[in-house]
Amino acid sequence: MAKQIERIKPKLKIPYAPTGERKGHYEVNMLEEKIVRDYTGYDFDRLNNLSVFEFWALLRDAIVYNCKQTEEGRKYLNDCWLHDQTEPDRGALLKYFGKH
Amino acid sequence: MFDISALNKRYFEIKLTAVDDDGKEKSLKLEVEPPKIKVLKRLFSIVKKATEISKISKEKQKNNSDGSTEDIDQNVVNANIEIFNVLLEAVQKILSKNKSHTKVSTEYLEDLDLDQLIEIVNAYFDWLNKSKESNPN
Repeated sequence: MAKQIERIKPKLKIPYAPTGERKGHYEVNMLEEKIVRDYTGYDFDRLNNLSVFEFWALLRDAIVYNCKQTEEGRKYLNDCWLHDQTEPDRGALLKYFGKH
Repeated sequence: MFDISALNKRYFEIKLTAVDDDGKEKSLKLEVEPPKIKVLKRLFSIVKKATEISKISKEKQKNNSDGSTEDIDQNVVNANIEIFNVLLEAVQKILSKNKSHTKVSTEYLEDLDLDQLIEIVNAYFDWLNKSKESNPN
């Protein structure tokens, strides 16, 4: 029997948390492509031929990987995770305030 | 090793209908694949162009408020035709990349009006956005 390829649905959403930093007067047009290029080693031509979901998956991985390299980046990722939470952490609340 | 080909593909499902010469209604179901980065950029520029044409047309209407209503009407018609052609190009691009490699004949597209084209483009971008957000960190 042929071995079935395991299909995965990667996460695509890029971690984000507001930092309050000013963007400055100039923006890089192809910043996302550069981040993925540096992470994968793909050239721009190859990146342009990726499907958007493949590109977004790589971009997310590249950003998470880059952030994990520094203390500041790890703090930012933690802020992103907190920013995404919509439910209260009942366990922590119970521990902090007690059962009553 | 991370294998990019192992990514699970997601499809945008769309049903198109057309009436043939005998008056019979026929439909075509498509599973549209996500675009490549270069196609997405092209789609953005097409939609941007359509928005600009619409904006210019509205400004012209405002400026020509003293002019005859016939001129204004003609300007609106011309702008709408231009927007229609631009969006038709976008929709053709979107639909041409489908799972079954079906070539979408013009009979399915020529009956669409401007509102339907806008709806297709909006639904497609909504699908892309929802797919991106549906599997959060």
